[in-house]
Amino acid sequence: MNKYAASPLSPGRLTILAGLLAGLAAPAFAESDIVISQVYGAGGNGSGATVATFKHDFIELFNRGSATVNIGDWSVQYASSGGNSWQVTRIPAGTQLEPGQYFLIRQASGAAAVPDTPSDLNGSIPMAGAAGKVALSRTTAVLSGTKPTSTALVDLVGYGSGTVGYEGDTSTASIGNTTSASRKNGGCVDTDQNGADFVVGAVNPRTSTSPRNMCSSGPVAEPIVASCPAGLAVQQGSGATALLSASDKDSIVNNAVIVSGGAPGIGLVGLAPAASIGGAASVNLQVEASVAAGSYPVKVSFTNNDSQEKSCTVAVSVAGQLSIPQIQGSGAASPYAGTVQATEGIVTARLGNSLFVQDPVGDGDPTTSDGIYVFNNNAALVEGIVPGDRVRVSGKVVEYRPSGADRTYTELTEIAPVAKLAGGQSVAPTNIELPNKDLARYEGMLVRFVTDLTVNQNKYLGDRGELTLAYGRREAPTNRHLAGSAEANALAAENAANEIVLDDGIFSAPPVIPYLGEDNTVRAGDTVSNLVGVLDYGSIGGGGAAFKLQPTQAPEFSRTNPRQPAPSLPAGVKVASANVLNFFTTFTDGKDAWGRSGQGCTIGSRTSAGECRGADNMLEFVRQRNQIVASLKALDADVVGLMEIQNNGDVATAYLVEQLNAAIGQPVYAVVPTPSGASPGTDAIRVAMIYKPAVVSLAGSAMLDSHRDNNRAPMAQTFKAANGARFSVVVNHFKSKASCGGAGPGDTELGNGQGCWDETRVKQATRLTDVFLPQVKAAAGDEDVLVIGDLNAYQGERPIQHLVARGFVNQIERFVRPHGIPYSYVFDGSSGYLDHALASSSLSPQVVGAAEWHNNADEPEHIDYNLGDTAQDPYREGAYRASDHDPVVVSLALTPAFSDVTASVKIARSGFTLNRTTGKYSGTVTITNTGNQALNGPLHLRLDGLTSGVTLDNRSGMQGSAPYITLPNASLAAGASVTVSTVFGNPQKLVINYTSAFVSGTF
Amino acid sequence: MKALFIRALLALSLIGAVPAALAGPTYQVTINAANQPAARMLDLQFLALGSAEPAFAYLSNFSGNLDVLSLDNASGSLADGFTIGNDTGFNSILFDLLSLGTIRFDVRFDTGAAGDGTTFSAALLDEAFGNLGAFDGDLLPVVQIELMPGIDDALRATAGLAQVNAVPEPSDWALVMTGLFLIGAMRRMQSRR
Repeated sequence: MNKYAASPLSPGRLTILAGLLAGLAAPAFAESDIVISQVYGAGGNGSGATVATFKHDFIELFNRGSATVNIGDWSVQYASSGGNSWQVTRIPAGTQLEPGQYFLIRQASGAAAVPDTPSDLNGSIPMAGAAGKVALSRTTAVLSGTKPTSTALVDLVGYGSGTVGYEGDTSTASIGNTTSASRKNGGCVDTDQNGADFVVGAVNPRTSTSPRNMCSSGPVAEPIVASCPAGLAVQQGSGATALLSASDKDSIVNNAVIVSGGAPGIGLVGLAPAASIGGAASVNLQVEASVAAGSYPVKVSFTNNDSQEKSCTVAVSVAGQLSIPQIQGSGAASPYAGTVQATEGIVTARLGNSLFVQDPVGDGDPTTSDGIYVFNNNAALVEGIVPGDRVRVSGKVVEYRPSGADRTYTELTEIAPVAKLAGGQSVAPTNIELPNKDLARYEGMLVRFVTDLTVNQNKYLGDRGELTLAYGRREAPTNRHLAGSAEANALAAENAANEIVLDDGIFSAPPVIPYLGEDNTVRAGDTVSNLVGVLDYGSIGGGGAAFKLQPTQAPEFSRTNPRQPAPSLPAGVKVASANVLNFFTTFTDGKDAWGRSGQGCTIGSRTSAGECRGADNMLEFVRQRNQIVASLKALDADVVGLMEIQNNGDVATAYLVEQLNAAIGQPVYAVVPTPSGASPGTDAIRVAMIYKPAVVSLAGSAMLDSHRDNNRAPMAQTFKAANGARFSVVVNHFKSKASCGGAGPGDTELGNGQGCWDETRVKQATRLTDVFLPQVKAAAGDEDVLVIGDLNAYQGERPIQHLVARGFVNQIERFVRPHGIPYSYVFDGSSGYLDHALASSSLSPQVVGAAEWHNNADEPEHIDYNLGDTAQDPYREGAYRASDHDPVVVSLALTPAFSDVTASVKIARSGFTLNRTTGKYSGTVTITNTGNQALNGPLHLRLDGLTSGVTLDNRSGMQGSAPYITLPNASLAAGASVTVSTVFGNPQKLVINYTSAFVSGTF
Repeated sequence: MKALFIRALLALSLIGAVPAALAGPTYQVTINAANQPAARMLDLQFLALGSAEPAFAYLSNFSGNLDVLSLDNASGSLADGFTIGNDTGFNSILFDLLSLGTIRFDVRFDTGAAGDGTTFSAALLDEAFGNLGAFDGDLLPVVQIELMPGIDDALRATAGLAQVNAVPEPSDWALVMTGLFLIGAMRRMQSRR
């Protein structure tokens, strides 16, 4: 307050002292009450989040004195932070500034479209945005020097660090687009110290029409600081008090009164005024036992000996006595939400310091829950309370809405100490079952699920201890029905009502991962019985909220969905699609599979270790590699399309093949080479292919479609099978449903199961059918095409429907659906297949089987190769959880291009004569058609297993390692014979042996 | 009954007259080497696939001015005759022609009953082992007997230079005569009825 003499250290004394010192040491600023009160230099600068607050720079003047001053023909002037060249804005003659009045002089503007700066006078000086200096002069004469000393100078403000020319010891702090330098106390403070007198803050231009700000002649008064509890919970009939206090640094707080919100029985008692300046006054807020239940916002006002006042409000809540069903009510929210209530019940579970309390009798109304969750994190309030205790608890009824939840959960919070009334009580669990659209009527209650439930998701088991359960396995709606159809919507609703999350009773990452069984896993599809616990509601892994069962008894798991070996399909060429979950030979630590350092992964034209998506280091990589190799080895397919392998040419693919062959012990697999000049796309991952050269051979080069619609180019390769049949495999990895940023029309999330980027995937599918596949078929000269890969769409979604409409036959629907829900992936607790096998109409009749191998999708994420994502490391080497997607394999019984008709003929082979000069052995072979039908050509005699060291010199060609002679005959009639010569090179004069095969068709 | 017995006897004798699977007829091979002044060697081969059943060529009654140069999987002498097997990659007898003139010998075969064939060949070679006077270009010999189980032997010879003829065995003649007699007897019996 205004007691100069009260303290030798009062601010008033310091101000005078500073003023004296400034007067002695600094240039003699002319005595004036007119000051520069605010400076802003970034008008109209910047854009976006940092755009300027106003369009124009400005200099604000202020009359801090008690008399009107004529500032006509004065000027404001500006120079740069280090400069001595001053620009002038003249103030019109006759301009008067009254006490407490501001005067705004607007200067140059910037480009940004932001509000104009209000003004009393418009200048045009472009002021620097962060640092510069402005001066107020009694004349319009141009000032000089970096720090002017003119006797006409009234005020000088150097703003921004580094500025040369200011009053006092330093310039003000730097200002910016959204900040100005303002003289403190609305312009009142002037100690001739720019650094101390100004504060940098939000831009706040004031004009002559702004409210006057009368400066008192003395220092600023310190306020009263009050200390009051936010709330006071009182149980009706018992009464309570709370201690309130207040102090003032430069005064004596000496009184407190209730100014509002009170009621009879609520009062202040025991007021103890402060003993001295700065001392604390205290008073008790007393609530008597007679006060009726309800909420009382009691406002208490403290005052001091300087007539200052400060009030605070204490939310007094007097708890009534209600039963738990009354508190819950039959509606979605408690009718007592926001009130304090006391109730009684039996503790059915204690989770940390929170309780589940249930009325053992209930009200007989099934719509009102008999249980309630009592949220509490203060151990002292529930000391000694255990399940089975009958307790009395009071607290505030709140409707808690977890983040992302579409409903609320009634609970008691801010509780008073819980009173134990009796021990050893029990509550019989209420039997419930799924699906159930209204679990709310059981919220907080002890329940038992009467049927076994099925694990539908285990993704959050390791980090949250959660398993999503449902009655049976839930299928993603668009996996079965067309996206957006009534059927799909109905299934979505059915799924929503068929869910309970089995939690582990703790609300943090479990130190021991619960519920793991044989092989350190619990698989989606496994069943759980003896599900007894309290019905909680709260946030779940993956976002949103759900009803959660906090078990009070140990659930019993059955491995209903055991791990299976890789699928066995009818004989044929096996083609598989396998997503290898970011198989990178370069790690995020910058090292690679060969031990080199400083490596990186490339996305587009950018290369850095930060772009690597797979293993973080060699330790993780070896684990990842061994699982992928084990799964591919077990899959044993003849052609494998790979997704999510590092886009580093064929390096990662070649490494995988090398390791796979090492695991097999023979060079069984080879890489389908990427043709030089072909681009696998701009993503950090690509698709690739490997194959068994002993089973199929490459017919022509691979083709990749790196059109801009495909950031991961589809890859096609035509193969030739041992029976001469050709077929093309096209591997795809369509755009993901996730990562919605930047999604335009058609690509945004519609909430119908398609996720984001549906339109983009349709474009990719269309590009495939309209451009790429025709190219592939033309190059192959064959219509047999198998489209495989992670298409990131379920069959009921547009990209797959497009392919089907173009004649492709969905082999998963054909072969897998009849045996149950087809799925290769579990998302959001629902199963479906993103990994496809679609055959062209010509190839489809040759497909004899298709299967998904559920070695991955059913397994918990936390058993994969990653280290450090959970408290424990349940990883086990093997083929399970090698990826997040299940592989798909199809068997192609390809129509042979040729057939072995040896059984239809008699083959008579003569002896030889040797020409000693040439070294050739000559003989004849006579083939007689013993069947009753003509054999159609082209016809070939193939010599299988010809003695090593012997060559058939007059061969027409080789099929594999066997030479053959093509007969001149177009066909061989029933009963007809044909004789062909055989000429062998046999320099070692070996005994010649071979097995004859007679073949019709084209090799 | 009597007629039936006679018919059976007739059938047996006719079957017996057909060359047996293992013991074929004897062939007489004649080569007029004088027509090939460059001829220096006579090459007899007996070659088959390794999968052919064992077979042997028995050669005898040589005439002509010959001398043995080499034996491969063969044994014997000009005086006592030769035997060649078919069970190695190269089965042959190579003779030096001491003078050009008519060469004659008999050859008889034991062959397998089924399976792949064996080929006997006789070739006239010049100094550089080149074939002379082959009946089918320069790869082949002047005489070839292709033995295929189950079918008749195929005989080929270069016209005007060589010939190959079957020599009937005495026992064969007796069987044929018996058969003819029986046919005549049957006809007589039938005409009497």
